[in-house]
Amino acid sequence: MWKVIIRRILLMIPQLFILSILVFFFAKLMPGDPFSGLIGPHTDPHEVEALRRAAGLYDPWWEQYLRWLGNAIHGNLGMSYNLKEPVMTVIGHRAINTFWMSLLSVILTYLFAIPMSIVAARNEGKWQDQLWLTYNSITFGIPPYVFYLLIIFIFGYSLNWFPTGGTVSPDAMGIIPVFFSKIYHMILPAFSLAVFGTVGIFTYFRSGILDEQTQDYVRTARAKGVKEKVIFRRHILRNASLPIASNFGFVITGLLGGAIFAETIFGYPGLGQLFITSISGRDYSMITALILLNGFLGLLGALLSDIIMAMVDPRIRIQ
Amino acid sequence: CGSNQNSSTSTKKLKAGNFDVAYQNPDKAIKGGNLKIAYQSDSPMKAEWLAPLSDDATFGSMSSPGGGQDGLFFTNSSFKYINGGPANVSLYKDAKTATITLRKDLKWSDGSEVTAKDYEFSYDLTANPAYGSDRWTDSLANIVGLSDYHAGKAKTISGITFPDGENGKVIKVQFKEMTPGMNQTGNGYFLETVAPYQYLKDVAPKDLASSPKSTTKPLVTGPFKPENVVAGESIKYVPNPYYWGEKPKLNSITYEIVSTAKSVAALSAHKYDYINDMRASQYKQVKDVKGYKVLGQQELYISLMYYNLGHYDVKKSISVQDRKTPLQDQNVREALGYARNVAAVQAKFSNGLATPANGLIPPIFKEFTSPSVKGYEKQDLDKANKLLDEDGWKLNKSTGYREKDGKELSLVYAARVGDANSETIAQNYIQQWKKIGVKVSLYHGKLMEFNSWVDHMTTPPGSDDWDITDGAWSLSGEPSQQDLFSAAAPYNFGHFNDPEITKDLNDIDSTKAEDSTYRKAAFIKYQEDMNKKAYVVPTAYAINYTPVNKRVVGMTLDYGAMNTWSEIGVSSDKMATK
Repeated sequence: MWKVIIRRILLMIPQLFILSILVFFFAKLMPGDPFSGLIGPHTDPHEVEALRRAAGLYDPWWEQYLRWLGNAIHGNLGMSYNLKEPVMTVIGHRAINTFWMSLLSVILTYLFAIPMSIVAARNEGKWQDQLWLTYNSITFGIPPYVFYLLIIFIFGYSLNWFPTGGTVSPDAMGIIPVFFSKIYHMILPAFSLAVFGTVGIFTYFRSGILDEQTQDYVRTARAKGVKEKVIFRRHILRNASLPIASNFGFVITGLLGGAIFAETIFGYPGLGQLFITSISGRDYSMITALILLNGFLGLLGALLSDIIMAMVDPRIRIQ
Repeated sequence: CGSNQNSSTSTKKLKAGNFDVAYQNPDKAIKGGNLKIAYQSDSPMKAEWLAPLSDDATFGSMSSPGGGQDGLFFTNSSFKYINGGPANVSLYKDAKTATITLRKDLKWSDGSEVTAKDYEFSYDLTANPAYGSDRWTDSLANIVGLSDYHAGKAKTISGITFPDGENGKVIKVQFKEMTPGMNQTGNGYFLETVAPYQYLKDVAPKDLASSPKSTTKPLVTGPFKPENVVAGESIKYVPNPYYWGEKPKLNSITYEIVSTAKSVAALSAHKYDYINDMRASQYKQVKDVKGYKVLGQQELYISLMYYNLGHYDVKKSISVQDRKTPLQDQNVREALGYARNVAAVQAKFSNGLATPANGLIPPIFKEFTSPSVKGYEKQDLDKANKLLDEDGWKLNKSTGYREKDGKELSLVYAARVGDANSETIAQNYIQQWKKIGVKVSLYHGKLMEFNSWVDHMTTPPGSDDWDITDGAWSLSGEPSQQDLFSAAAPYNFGHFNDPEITKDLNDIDSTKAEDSTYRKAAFIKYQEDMNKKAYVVPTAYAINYTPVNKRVVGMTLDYGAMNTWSEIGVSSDKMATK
């Protein structure tokens, strides 16, 4: 298996390489550049030209690309044009915010979705099933930002239970108050993501359980007089978890993907919000780095999922 | 808490449109209190306390309790420098110098003295490319030796000297030329901020913009100092014990970012004392929120319509008015201006936050303009038709459009994407122009995306594929429009070049114009000539508004209010809800 994993990791290099060329090329096709927004009546256009020239924006795109690649190989993804900080530093700060919020939301999502799926599947066709099916159809069908606004309005503004934006209160100072303030600020966005993000797990898990319930081995177990609870816990549940497990690699890498809508609406400075502001500000170096990061996470997610599957399902071997 | 019976005892009853500029709260401020302010934005703020390295307008506002990135000069409501602030400036026209005198008790928030060197350091940050500032402008090259320093040809700035030493309080700036605009803030000829040299001198130039010393742990000179800066999100301010002026009433200020999607709900839930940068499109929801008084102020802003008349000669840095277009006829340009129903558009879409412009200088510069300037603010289709008739453009009854020498009067309108109403407004103007027989179509059949538009309009020499476009500018406190419309101005999108206008512009900046009556007359003549020649047509002035909670005492949007942060207070610990 190790050989395969190493081969897969090595294969990522050309894949990322192709992705980086595409990203670089398409980013340049966008109208405007990082300096377009700088002009004002007193701006000297020669100065803007000089800034563009200094940034190498007039060189052919492949020349810019090779320069960027050379730096990237040495771990330098360049400076953010707009934030005037190294790209890696900015991503590092934002990644921490995104990671903790996503982790909390993933935990909450599973906590909501798994019992929901079990209840629905165990009561197939009954009102409990209908209830959770309807719930998931609604949360899937309506754009999430509508719900986020609703949640902010109810829990943030009407009930006043939670802060409605940011990652930490400016009043919090010292390690412990900052820690608790961060958790407190994370709850509402993470909860919103979780409450409205159950549909994927619910669909797979519920239908997994329903499928497994009708399998021969379940009938055999029943015929042998194994208790229903044991059959459910030991056999059905384990096998029904496989589709979820197959997705788990993506869940892990998705912790750093960033939630664009939630972060923007909650004013939570993570990677998702950074991505949007970088695109609108034509921050090329940041856009390239973020898309590459996401590409890398996607590939890694696929690999992790395969490994996880091989671990939980003895029938599957990576070859 | 507060009531609506404001202004009855007011001595200052400034108005902007229908809005009060200041909130006259009948209640008294309590001792202490915490003011909660938000700035509406969908991007995180970029905390950068050094003005030369900062170009984030959001943070520009959010840093103001700390002294606005360490601004030095007080100004009056007409944006003229006045004495009594952190520093005084005196201009000597014969010697071509400015003397800047820092107050004796001007200190940084760690108690150290603000020195002459700190003022020079601002120039270093701006002009030394190692710091990566994008604030260098042509106007600064007017300081002797500064462009050599900028180009790396000189090690020091010869035009900036310290009569009583680096650690003294006096700085002399030597100019090549003096202009009458130099006594207006934002003139760009000299810098208006200081930066703490001793505190920052050991930080490597390339690291300075992201150093904690300039982002989260800065030194400031204002009435408040930042106690906690949360990157991208918020700032908590407490009074600065070393502030030279009146001690603030408040115990603290928190200043946060609020996203556009949430701001109105936040206001309705009384989360903030006020929110900056609310959009015109939100006004209808904001105006009825209980517990708030909406203040307004004229913006330093003008929007206008450009005609494409020429190109920019990059080698000679000059506009050449040589384009073959019916727009070279003054009558056609005027007719298009008179055909627009600007007033009706503003009445329908602006919520009272924009007014038709009669000239190119907004009314906030009351010392330089006059309501008597006649512009294109009222639609006059008869006049427009008459102008075109006179010019020989005959209506072809079968097409409904005018023709001359067998050619149809057909133009391309490069309208920009702005808010949700942009397309409606553009189509409305096209319909109005149709009424006078001018066929106007949108550039490539649709609105232009903003970045594409900027590229298209600002890349020299300019392009031939559009005839009409809209533009808008934020203006500084010095209203001279050399940078916008002189023959050399690169952002003169239409590239007209008219000796009479050049003369008008030069007159505004001439030595004679040091006399303010003369300058006002020059500004009025310039606007009248611009309206007459109609190379561009002024569209609208804007009013910005701020909803203020009725517990706030001493709130004003007056540009001349210099002690607001010391004087502002709250009348209760709880927000007003009625």
